[in-house]
Amino acid sequence: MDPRRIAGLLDAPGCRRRQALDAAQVDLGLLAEAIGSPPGGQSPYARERDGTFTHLATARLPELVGTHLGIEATEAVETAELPVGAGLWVWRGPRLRLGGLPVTPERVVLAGDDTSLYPVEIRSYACLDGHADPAKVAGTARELAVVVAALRQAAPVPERISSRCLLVLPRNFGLAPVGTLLDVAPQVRRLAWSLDRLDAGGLPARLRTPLAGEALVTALTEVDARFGDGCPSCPMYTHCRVEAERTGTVARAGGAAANLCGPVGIAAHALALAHGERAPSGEAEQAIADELARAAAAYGWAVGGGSTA
Amino acid sequence: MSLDVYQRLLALSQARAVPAASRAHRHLSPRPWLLAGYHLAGEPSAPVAIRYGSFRDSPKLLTVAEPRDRAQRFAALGGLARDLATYLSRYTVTEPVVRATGSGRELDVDLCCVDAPQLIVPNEATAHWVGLLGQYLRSLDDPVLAAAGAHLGWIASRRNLPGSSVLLTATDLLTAHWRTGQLPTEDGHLGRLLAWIEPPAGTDAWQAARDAEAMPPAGPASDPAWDAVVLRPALERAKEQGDVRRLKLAAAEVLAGPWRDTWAAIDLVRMLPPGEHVAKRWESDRWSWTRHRERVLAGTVSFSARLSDVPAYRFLHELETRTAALERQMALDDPLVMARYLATGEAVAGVVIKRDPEHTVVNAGGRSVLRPLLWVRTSAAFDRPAGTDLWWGKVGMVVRAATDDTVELMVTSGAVTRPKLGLLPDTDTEVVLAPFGPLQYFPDNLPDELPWPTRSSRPKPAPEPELDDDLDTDVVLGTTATTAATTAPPPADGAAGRVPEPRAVPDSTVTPASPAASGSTTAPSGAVPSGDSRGGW
Amino acid sequence: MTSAGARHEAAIEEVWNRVRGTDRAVVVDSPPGAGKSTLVRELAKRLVAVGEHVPIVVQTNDQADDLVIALAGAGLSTGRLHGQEWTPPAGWPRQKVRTGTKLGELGGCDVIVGTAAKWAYVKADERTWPLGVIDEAYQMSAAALVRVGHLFDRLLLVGDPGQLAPFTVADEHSVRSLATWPLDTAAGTLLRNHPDTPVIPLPVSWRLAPHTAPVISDAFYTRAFTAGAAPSDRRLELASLAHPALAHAAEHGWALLELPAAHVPRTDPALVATIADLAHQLVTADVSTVDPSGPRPLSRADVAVGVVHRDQKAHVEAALQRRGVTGVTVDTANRLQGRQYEVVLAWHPLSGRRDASAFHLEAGRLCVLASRHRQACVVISRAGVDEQLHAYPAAEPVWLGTDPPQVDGWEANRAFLERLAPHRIPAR
Ligand code: SF4
Repeated sequence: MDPRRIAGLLDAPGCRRRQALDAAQVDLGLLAEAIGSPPGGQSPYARERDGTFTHLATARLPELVGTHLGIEATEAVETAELPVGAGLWVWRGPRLRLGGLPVTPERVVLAGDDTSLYPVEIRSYACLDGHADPAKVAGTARELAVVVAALRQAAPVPERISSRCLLVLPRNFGLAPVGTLLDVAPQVRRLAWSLDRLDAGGLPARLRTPLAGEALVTALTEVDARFGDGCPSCPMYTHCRVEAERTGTVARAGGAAANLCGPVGIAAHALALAHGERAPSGEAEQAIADELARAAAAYGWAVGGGSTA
Repeated sequence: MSLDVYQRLLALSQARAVPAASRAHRHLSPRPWLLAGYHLAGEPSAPVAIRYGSFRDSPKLLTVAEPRDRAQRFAALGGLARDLATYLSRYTVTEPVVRATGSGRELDVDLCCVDAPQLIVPNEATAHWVGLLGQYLRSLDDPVLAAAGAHLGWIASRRNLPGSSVLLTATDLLTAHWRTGQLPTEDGHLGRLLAWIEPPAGTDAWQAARDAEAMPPAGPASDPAWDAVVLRPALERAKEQGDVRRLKLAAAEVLAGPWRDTWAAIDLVRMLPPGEHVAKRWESDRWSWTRHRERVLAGTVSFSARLSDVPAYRFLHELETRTAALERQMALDDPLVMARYLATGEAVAGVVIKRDPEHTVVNAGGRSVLRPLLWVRTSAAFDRPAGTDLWWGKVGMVVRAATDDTVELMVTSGAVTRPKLGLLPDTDTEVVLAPFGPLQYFPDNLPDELPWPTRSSRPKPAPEPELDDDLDTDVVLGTTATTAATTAPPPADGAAGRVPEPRAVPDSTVTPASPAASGSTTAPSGAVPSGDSRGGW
Repeated sequence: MTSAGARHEAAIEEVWNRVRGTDRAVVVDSPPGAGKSTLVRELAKRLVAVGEHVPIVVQTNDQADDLVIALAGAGLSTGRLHGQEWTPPAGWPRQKVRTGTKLGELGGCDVIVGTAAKWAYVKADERTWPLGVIDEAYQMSAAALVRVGHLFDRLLLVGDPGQLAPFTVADEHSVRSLATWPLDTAAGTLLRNHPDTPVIPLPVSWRLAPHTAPVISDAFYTRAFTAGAAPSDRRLELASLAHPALAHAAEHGWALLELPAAHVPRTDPALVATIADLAHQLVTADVSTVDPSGPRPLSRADVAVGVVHRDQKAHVEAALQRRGVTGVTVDTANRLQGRQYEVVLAWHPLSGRRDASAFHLEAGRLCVLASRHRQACVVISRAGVDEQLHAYPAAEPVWLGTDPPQVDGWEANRAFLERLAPHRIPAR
């Protein structure tokens, strides 16, 4: 699986269904077809720009690793294994593993200074005045964390793989590459914890064999889902949200609502509590009823034309 | 906030949005300028199509057959720049206005534009793009384009200031006034939002929202499928055969939705009566526009890339002041907003059951002063501690004690002299005691220069070499798709039509015309001279 | 002198030498209960003794009042610079302290204490000082430092890096996208701009118990510290029928009392009841607190309940009232900063939530709650906090060119929970 997919584990790490999806290495194309979600992918124009920039930036890598990491290299050398020593390498199609999952990045660029190896990542979103979209950088950081962790698993001395990475982006409106150091140590720590859980979670028996179509959807739907704010990036999103809509799940309205309603998972029940149409079962529900009733009273006051003096 | 959750639950169970405001909290110009755009995926400065103008039924449509070609882009944007200039030229009339200056105590008469321009775009991504477009235009040598860039820069700079209505997004207009039952991130999609507020007859919001999603995107973020299936053939036809009809059609198709939806959002908010403070906030925008025009005329507009040093702290101060002021004004203007504070218990609603207007206390100087007492019966217990300040209009009071259904308050301002006792609420009056008092004026006491502890003791490192910095995206592409890195064309070294990248203009010393605006800031891509807005609040 | 005492004294002497030396600024990192207040008082005394005038910047009026009382008690001629609305607290030493809203009214005072907000209105052309002291420099924001920095030629900053970070109502995204980040702490900004500034950590916490100091040090601090008390120095003596969580905490310093996992509202009634019962037992049963000064009965003022939200405070207070318990402090983390008690009952910020949030994960919040005690801390929580930590998406925006925080809230929470695992007591 590519690093991006595994990094996706960090978007909604609390959902068992999502974990199962990745642990079973479900083919996303088959899944999209099965649940009838629109095909994703990249715009041809974005792909062209990516290609052009990667080409330009690769040529400038020696200079960039010199400036930012103090590593001298004249060119990026092709390698077929984890390199040692000082230099700059491109490793195409490495077959790495992370826990029990295969990690297959298209290529990994590494710069080494004898003591450490630093991953180098080229991306084509713009860095304007030294500033890039923080959500995109966060996404890249998560993917880099996957690469760092997988390289560490492959390395005889894991500490040699640094979590400090060099991120290369096009400057402003042009295509001139500019480098920035990015430490992904926090993301690596998170990932490690998520993967522990993934391994420990165990896979439902039905998902151990390759499935497709209706059978795949049914098998996945049997795994507990935890709908929330992280879902839009999940391959199951269009399926799960319909399920949440049908059942009137509170979480369909987002994490804040789900947190406030606690054990009351159905919106209609929460509203009935708020309106005094349902007897709270137990103290916790009573507390929720109190809080929502106060909101309902305030709302009623306001739509009834309340005056603020 | 619990009211927010309650509203979301209501919306969710009714499959229809519920009102979150009963007043319009954004200024809406009678003649806004709308802009919707679509640009080439991944290219921050390559618009394919822009639809803009002030007239709902006769928008201008601009297309660029090869967005990565400088000459074509230049020509297209030239048209946009001229039309923008025409629109802005309507906002040059000034009138004398009395405003506070200096420490906020003295009054002065100054000329202010009677109205200011307003730009409304479909969504956040477009608003962000407006800033980029401005930045890009300013980097060009052409005076018309550069001037348009300066104006767009000013417009974009107002976006991050709470309470400003110069640059509005339709998604913000709607989320400020309605609550949906979907994920908050899904509210960023204009089509989905509208589907929640006004689902077509016969469908519920869920279905309507899914239908809206299936439409081409509201730009400028691109849709890979649409790019491959519709845009690419249209662009190729335009390039190879010089036939732009298909491109125009495609552009019209992709931008018709956002155009219509943005107007629909405006219509919806126009149905709400404006909040009382909206005009006051708009006056602050008018002052800012007036100053901006003065700088344009004097040739002193400048934009710094990012605020640092004292201006960064001044910007923070302004953001904090404006955030607090906006929150307060919206709550005072609109019961539905005040209800949020009632729901959290920060505000109290109840009935005055007892008064003691004659109550006195001995102050620090040993004098006996009038401090009336009020008892208010509430429906829910007030759980804030004694000493909490609350206000009823201009009457300020402090909580002395609270039981399950009664709050005892001592009036501390606004009605503490005999002639003003009539301002106290009578017994049996229904009152809402709010956590918002009269606006306090905190002068900005920042120094002119950073003091040593916050200034770096190390010389700034030399800037990175900027070799080949003006490499542009104007690569000449073959007619076949070049997708892989290995087949990508080499850098268009020396190719004609390069555009230098805009370099950050160093902070210059803009001298604001108003004495009120001491401590001047240059307007960066997002901040504003602090003197502009303060008087208006 | 114990070795801890020797290390502490050495650190104090180093601070003094640095203050008398040539460094433009000196930062003292003081973990909870490491003797910061004593240090400030002691340095003020020494400075006055060598003929210096000492301006001290604190962050809140309460801090200013406490410090002034302490300084005046130490016989220093002290002035309190205050705002219009300030009223002296009960027990204010009127005879010994001068007060004024303007610097001019405090002429002749050797030490002048005021809040940063008040100092910000002192003009540098009125007066500047060769050395200024900033107390609670990690509670102070860079924006406040900018407004007072020009008054002092040199600075001594003292503070606890494990506190809650300065707070702003401004939208972080707007600020970060348009400006260099002005929301750092005063100490953080100074260290970033003057990386050669010596940082002297106070190595010993005199407050925390021997069992509890290492956990706080490991989870929340980058510079390690140890407890000053020896294991035999401190003891909490309980009646034999004490709640197992109290009994465990009396012995080990910590207890993590876990109620069954559940998603519950913020004011979790069962948690409120549990806390109130524990507090009730602490103040009614026969409990003594023992330290080298001897045993004494635990009083109500020795017990505090730390909560996260104001409504939790209201509910716990009401529950205590119903049980007839008065005089026990109940407050939120930000209001407990700088205070100390014998026993603290802490409401875990993540207890019973479905999803963690940045607010609830803030390292400073948990650190403050868990480091107010001298003898023992009972953390009360719903089970399942580790699930929440696990489920927390790593989706925080990453701003290019900024370093990850020194102490990551998520990581600190995880480490703390791991260290408390052996002290887990399921609720009956
Ligand atoms: S979309 Fe479904 S599977 Fe994916 S994270 Fe959300 S609930 Fe889990």
